[in-house]
Amino acid sequence: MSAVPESVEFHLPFDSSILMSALTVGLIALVSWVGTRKLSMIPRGGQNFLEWILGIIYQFADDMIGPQARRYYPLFAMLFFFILVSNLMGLIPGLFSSTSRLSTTVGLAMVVFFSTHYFGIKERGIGAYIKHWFGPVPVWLKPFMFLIELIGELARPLSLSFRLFGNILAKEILLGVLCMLVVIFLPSGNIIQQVLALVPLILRPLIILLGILVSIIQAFVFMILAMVYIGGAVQAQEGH
Amino acid sequence: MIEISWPLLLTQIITFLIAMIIVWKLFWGPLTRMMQERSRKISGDIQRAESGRRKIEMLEAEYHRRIAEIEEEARKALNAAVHQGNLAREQIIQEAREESQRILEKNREYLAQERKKVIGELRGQLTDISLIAVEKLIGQGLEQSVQQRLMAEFLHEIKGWDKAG
Amino acid sequence: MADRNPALIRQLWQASMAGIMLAACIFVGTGIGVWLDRWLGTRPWLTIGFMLLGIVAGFYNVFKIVSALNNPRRLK
Repeated sequence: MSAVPESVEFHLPFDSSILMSALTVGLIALVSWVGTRKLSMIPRGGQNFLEWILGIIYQFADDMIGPQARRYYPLFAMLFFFILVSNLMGLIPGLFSSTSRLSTTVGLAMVVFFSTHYFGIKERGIGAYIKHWFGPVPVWLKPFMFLIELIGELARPLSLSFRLFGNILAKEILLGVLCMLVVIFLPSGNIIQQVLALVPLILRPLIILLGILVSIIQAFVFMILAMVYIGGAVQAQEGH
Repeated sequence: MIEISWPLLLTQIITFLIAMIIVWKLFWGPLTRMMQERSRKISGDIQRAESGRRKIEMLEAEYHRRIAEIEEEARKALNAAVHQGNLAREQIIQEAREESQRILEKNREYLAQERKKVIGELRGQLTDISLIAVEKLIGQGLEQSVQQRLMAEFLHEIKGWDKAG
Repeated sequence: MADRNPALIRQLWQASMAGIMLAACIFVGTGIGVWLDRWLGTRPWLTIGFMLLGIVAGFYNVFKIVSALNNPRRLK
């Protein structure tokens, strides 16, 4: 439920975060369509922009996973774009970020979680993959090691989803509260309160700027951590 | 917000996955392939340009070498020609000098001969004239022996001239 | 971007995760404990045990990240 009262969510029969996700996906598709309408060897306009962002994502994936990173490009690119667009959408009045809903962020974290183990087993074989869960410890410690690793593995999607959710929700609540402060203070007729209303009024654009920064950083962090986890799972000698 | 709704979560996951597949198949996949193709092409182009550049450099070096060779040859030929010319000149001068020398010699010889001839003639004439003069002076014929002695003395004297002359 | 050290970047991101991982591990451990207790009816014991395991797991993960930071070659 958005703290912003102008939200459209009160008029829908289903949860509006689905609508926001659909809008996010639509925006991504639109931007991608515009950018790849006329593919050419010499990129211009939208293609240039898309190539720039995808190039950065691929570069990071290559650095962290190695040559086999190519297989996971779609996942990383979509994670980044989905979270970025979703985050930024919360800054537009009337819309909100579907990433400010725990259901969305947990869903994304679960995608990463299952992808990590799926790719890990696929790359290294089920035997070797299960073996690394028990670690290099004496036999009597192995069950504990397994539980500890299990907890660690489960903690990853938790931290992943809660960080994103917390950051974006905080941003949305802050913007909503500032908005409501203006709404409450301004028509009060009390001169002091009207002057006070200026503070959130001035603060809001600054928070929006901050929100843009947070949106980009959080999308980036989520993607990079997905790379770290998947990279750790598919590489035999490194990670855990 | 805080609560997790499982149907919602599943819907979000499915939305995400389907969107990922569609967007990748339709837009990003072709774009990515094009990017990779381009980077391959660029590295190929760079390699080709590099090898082309190296070839051009080689050709240039070869060309410079050839030019230097040709210049060297031309200079050698010129030098040889000059040398030859000098030689020819020397020879011609030498020959001319020798020729003139020869002519001079010849003339000198000829002159000497002439002189000798003239002197011989003169001597003959002088002897006759002097004999006539002596006969005239004495008025009488000298004895053959005296005549002969006088003759010899005179001749001896004239020989002395000849030597002095 | 060519001179970037990939291992270092990975560790940086993981290091930024260390604190949250500690909390998340304890939370997950305790959660598993509570769930098992409710299922098996062994009220406080499994909760306590798994909370301890969660704490161990949290510190283990932090330790792994930190040791990887100190010595990139010794990544297990």
